[in-house]
Amino acid sequence: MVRSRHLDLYILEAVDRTPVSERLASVARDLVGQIGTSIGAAVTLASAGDAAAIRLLRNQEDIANAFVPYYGPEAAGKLTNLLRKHIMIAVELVAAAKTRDDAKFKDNDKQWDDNAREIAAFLAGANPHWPEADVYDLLEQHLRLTKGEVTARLKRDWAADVKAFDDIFTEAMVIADTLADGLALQFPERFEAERATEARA
Amino acid sequence: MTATPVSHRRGVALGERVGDCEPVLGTDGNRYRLSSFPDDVLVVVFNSNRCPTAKAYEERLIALQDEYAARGIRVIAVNSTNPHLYAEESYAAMIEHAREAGFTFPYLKDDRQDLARTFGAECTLHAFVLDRERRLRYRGRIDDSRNPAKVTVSDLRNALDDVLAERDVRVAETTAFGCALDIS
Repeated sequence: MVRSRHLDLYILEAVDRTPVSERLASVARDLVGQIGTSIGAAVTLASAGDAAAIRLLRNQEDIANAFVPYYGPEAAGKLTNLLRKHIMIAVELVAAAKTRDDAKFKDNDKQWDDNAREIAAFLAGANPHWPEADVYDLLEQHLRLTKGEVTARLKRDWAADVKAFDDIFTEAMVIADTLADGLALQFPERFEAERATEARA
Repeated sequence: MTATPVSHRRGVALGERVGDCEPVLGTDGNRYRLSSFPDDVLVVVFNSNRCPTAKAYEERLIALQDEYAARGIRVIAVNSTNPHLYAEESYAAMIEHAREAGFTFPYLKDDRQDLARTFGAECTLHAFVLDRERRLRYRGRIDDSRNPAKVTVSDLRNALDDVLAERDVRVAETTAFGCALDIS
């Protein structure tokens, strides 16, 4: 597991946040944070080759697998497909940007946005605490930030690249918090014992 | 996000008067209190240097201040994030950030997090409107989308228009969204 510098700090934050358990919040941030960590690799996929793609796709499976205890294997399978599609479209989008194929870029950009809407609809269907409009807004920001990183990296604007990476990572933490908060609100009984243990610690 | 329950943190209630605060240092080197602007309706916005959501709203906040200044509206941005957790939120970084972003309003370092506790701020951005009597009239989001091109309802502007027109705020509370605000 890739651990972030923010992860340990998050334990401090969790003291006065939502009813979410620290463990759940940490796992969510760890899993989703890898999107932020890995997405930079997507920008250079063409040069990083299959290894980066495999790593990114595995992360999508890891995220979806975390859904199994709550929503079952069938729902997790659907989510895996949606998240893998998110990565595969990203690969095509980056390739189009690199070759300056505007038509292909626009087509993939549209597909990426449609995929984000599908993910938002899927999540909203699974959990009333993940409202579709709100989740889409969050995912759409993720797409815009990622496109900003693609642009910065292709222009070799490394200062902008670093800023974009920081933004993507921070935003990934917001996605993780949103998912964790929603789970804790939908399944409070699963976290009561855990919170009590954490409170005693 | 509405995934987070509205107002799980205790802060001033809607309609309640907010007392004055201790002087808080701004990025311009001056110290401000809520009473520093006695004639203005205040928009207190909890902000962050590093949060992408906050960054997405900077131009909108500046535009709002510019547009409403003549009508007696004063935006005050507050940074309550612990710089020991995030170095990007230090006072020095705030000065740089305010300069780069072109803030036209005070940007205050709430280093004891007193303002965040008083208002019950939960995330960045989280906006609060105080009328001239310093009663809380609105709390919540600026509008409904991080992407300015996709905004369908401007909750904060609606609230300001209602306060200026001396009528009830049509939607006095919405759910703010953005990066978690840690309160020690």
